[in-house]
Amino acid sequence: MAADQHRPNSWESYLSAHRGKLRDFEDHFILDNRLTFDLLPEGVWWGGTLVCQDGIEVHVERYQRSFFRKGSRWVETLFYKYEVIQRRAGRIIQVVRYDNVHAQRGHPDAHHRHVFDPDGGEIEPPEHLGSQRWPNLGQVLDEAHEYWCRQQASSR
Amino acid sequence: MSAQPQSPEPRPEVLDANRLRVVLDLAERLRAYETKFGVATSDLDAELASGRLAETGDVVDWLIGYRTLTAVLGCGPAPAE
Repeated sequence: MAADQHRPNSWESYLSAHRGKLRDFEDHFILDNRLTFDLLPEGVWWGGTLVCQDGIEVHVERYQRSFFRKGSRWVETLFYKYEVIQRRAGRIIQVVRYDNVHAQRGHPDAHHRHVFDPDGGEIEPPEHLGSQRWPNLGQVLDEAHEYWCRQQASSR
Repeated sequence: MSAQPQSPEPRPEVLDANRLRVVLDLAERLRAYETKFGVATSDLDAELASGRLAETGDVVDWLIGYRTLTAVLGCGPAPAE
């Protein structure tokens, strides 16, 4: 995960990449796209869920700062939570959660990852990611997809 | 304009209306979490730092709402570059 990927990007380019990534999964993994956004004068507020196969869901909360260059909007992610869960037999199993809104004890910054065992119990401590390794939504979607593929393979 | 991503840039009055709606939605969310957890949003960071409150997905949503609301209300017009 390169830090460069989090540099400001034009909104048009960002949307194009976002839509392209979702299209890659819409024919076999994403069942319902409930992720929406609001364009604000100074930012973009995202919230919602990508409902996927076998009860897997990717929950997104994100605020992107905006600025304008020659009349075009550019965006840069300031705050995020990307959370993967699975609804299984009436339970909600946590799979992984990334966020940057609260620094963990001993971490130099707030970018970190919570990991969970197969029953959803958290494996302490959260892993520090820092400014070099935090993921974008597409990478979290890749991770959710890989999780599903591993489940598919192990159930055969 | 809560919607699937679409260009082009909306009119300024649409952006202002979006901002107002998001601010109101986030303020309502903060109130709901304060009621649920019995903690004032202004004490959230201190409660987490002390360990009295655990960082769950719900609490992270609360924090993002708080941080975003602060950013949106603290910002003036977007700077030109």
